[in-house]
Amino acid sequence: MNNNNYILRYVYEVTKRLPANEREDVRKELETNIYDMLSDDPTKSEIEAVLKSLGKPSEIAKKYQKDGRYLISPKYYDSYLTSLKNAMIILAVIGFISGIFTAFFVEPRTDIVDVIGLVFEKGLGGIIEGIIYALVIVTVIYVIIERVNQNKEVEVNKEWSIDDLSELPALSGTYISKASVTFDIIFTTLFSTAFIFFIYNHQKYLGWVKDVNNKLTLTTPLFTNSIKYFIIPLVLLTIFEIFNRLMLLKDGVKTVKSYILIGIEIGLALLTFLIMISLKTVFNNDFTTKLELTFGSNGVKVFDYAVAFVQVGLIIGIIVTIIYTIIKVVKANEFNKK
Amino acid sequence: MSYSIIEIIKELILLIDSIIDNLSVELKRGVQTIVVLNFLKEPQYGYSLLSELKDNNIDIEAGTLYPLLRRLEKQGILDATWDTEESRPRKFYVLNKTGEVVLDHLIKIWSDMQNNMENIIRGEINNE
Repeated sequence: MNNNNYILRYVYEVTKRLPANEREDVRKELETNIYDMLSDDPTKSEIEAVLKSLGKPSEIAKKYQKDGRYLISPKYYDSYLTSLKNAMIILAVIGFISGIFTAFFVEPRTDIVDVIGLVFEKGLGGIIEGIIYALVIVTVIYVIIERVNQNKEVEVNKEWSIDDLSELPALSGTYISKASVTFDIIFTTLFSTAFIFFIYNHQKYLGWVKDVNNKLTLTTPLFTNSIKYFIIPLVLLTIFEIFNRLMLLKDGVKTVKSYILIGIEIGLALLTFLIMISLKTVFNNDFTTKLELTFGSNGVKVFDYAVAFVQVGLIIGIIVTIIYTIIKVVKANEFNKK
Repeated sequence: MSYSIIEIIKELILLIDSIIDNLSVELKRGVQTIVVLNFLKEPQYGYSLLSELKDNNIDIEAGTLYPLLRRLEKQGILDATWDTEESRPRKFYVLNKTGEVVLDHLIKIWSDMQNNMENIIRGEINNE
């Protein structure tokens, strides 16, 4: 009698894995089938042999429910992965940017080390939050889709048109990894916001530093407050940069359009810097006076040369950018004509 | 030295066996369904069908057959009734009208495939 226990336990092990409405029916049937396969008073080894011939309970349970024991079935899996990747990237970027803004505008700090630490903390926190939100939301949505459609034969749209095929990359081998573009966005935002922060607080960070009572203090700022007017174009530029990279993310390849847009972006950035250091009112007269007092007229000359050097560098940079962009566009057009 | 060569040969045999097993599963599965349907022209219960199949040298496991019967019933080509007269309640399956039509078609498809295969294989032999 004790041996019957094994049979009942085996059948239970199978049926507990089945949907509730099937359990009783399968239990009755399987029990009968097993008893039929045994003699009238079976020994333990007989029972063991028969149960083993049926196979592992979890395996036979799987066969009883051939269709769909998936959280997300193969039907939807590809679409799920794509949605997940896109959502994670987008929410990571949004989380990062909102984290950065929190760092700068919600809790204003002035100590630079504090600020950098805060930016990393909030920025990284924002990224992680964004990724987790994306993961949970997309997965839940697809699980719901799976459940709702479990008993229906849903035709995942099989019709396709040749007009919907992706655009070719501009040049061969110009596929870009989404990870690298995401990193690019993060670093661009980080760098740009830090730059804007320094401009905004220029009188604390950019200028003549002196040792006063064993503490390094900035006594004479390099720039005047008119440099703050440049914050607006810089912010616009940053937004443009982020937009360009999001485009790259969406396309997955460098297209002709992306070459042009990035060329414009770099050109405009260099132009902004050029104008920034070329305006007469930008540099603090007190600073140049300080230079003259400390180093004599040669000090001022060196300073002027330095500024001129940077100006020339920026102009060359702009020209190089234009030429480079034109070359890339021409090459891409030739490549696409083939 | 020769010991390791024997090991390699054993590994190869195992590998080829596993490939054959893997590829023959699909082949057998289709045949099993036709045979099972064929024997269900008469009402049968799980074990009786299993015995009949074994007597006819059809290689199917009990763990595969029983779920298969449920599935075919769900698909609507078998009718099932519980017989509670004997000491144990038994579920009898039998081919219904739909099932008969389906079986005829499956057998036709199978015959066509058989003829096609014979031509191909014979053609291969002729080409050698």
